[in-house]
Amino acid sequence: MNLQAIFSVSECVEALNISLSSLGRLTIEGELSELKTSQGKWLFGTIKDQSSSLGFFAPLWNIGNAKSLEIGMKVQLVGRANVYARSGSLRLVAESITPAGIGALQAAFERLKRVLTEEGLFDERRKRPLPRFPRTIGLLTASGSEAYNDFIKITAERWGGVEILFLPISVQGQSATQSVVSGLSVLQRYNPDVIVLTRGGGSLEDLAAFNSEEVTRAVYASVIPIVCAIGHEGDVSLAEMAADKRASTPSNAAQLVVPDKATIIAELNGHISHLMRLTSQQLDSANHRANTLLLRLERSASAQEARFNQLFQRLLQRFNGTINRVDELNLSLTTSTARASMAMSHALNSKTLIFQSLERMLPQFDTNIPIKRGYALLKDQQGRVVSSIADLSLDQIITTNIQDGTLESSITKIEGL
Amino acid sequence: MTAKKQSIESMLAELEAIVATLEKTDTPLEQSISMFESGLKLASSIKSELATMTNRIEQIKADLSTPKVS
Repeated sequence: MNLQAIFSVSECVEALNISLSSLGRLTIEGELSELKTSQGKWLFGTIKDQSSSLGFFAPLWNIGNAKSLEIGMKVQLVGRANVYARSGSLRLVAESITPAGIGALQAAFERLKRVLTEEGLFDERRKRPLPRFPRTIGLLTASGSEAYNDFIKITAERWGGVEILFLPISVQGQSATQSVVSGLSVLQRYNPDVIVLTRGGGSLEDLAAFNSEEVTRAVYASVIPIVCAIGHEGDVSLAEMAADKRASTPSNAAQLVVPDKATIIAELNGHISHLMRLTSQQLDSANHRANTLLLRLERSASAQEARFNQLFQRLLQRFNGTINRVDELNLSLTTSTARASMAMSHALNSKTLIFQSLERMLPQFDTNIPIKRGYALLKDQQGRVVSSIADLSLDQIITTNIQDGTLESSITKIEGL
Repeated sequence: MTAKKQSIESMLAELEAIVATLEKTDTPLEQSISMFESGLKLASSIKSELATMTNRIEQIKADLSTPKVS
């Protein structure tokens, strides 16, 4: 007896699928030989090795790195096998397709980078400036990580008064991509001034989420300026390239996001000294102006004084002139007086001398003395002394004085000697 | 001094404005001196503010595991 059940086609496909599902999740390594998308929703392709090939299918949203895949690439496909009822063909329903083998991940990275660059996700022109003094910072990183500690520490060292909205995310492994994308979306609602997405260094595999198309696009789409610091200096992830600013490390992100107190204080000191300079310049110039005016005032005053002095001098000169003249006059007066008095005294003296000599001489002229000796004195009728015959004429009456009397006589004869 | 507390940013902006005004040569001297004084006051307020302020950290609770369409 044939006890074997007879299946309908559908029942057969269903039975096959039940059987295939018992294989569970398979990881298959092979080379991508066909790859295409359909309606922007589905990804179709073929994975093969030297002798076999398997078709695969996946919703595009499950394969975040679809753009980094290319034909000929060696990949590891994780998925489940099933039979597609309509065509009866066996295919793999892929959950992830990741590049495999040496250089494969790097090649995938380079390919996605090229595609996104062409699309303009890394365009420098769309990068926004970061706020100079952020009040709220959205921080996306793993809880308790070194990246978290470094960022918080350096931020506190540099600046204060900031509210840090910390949203812990998974930064590595299967869930990382989704965690970062969701975290970015959640933070947008809190509307911080700036978002920092960071994690420490790691291998290219560790950093895979930050090289994924989803995270790169989510960073690109952030309406809030975003700083990415993924890994150590040197590794540049696609997420960082899409960010407004790339920081080399979590500490560097803190340096970029908040100002430094020391810098601000230096700036303040600069302002203060500039203020001082400006004010003292203004004071100096006011002083200078005042001094110049004062000098001018003094000059004009001294000019007036000079003028006054000049006038005074002239006046003095005139006055002196007058005084001189008075003096001269005085002098000449004195001289004249002196001369006069001298002349007078001279005159007087000489008169006195004359008088004295006369006085001395006087007895000689005393007529009485000769008369007493017997001489006679002849006088004419007018009383004049007759001393020459020339004064006499015949018959003239003359008076003769002798010692004891007077006699009158008439001239009878005149005879010269 | 009990006036509404200004942010460091606005105080710095004010200080910068004072410097810019003083840089203009036509500012009257009296005004310059009073501006200079308020500039110094601002600077010392900023300094003391800088010395005391601290950061506040708030952890956001959010479920980041969005269900996947399968």
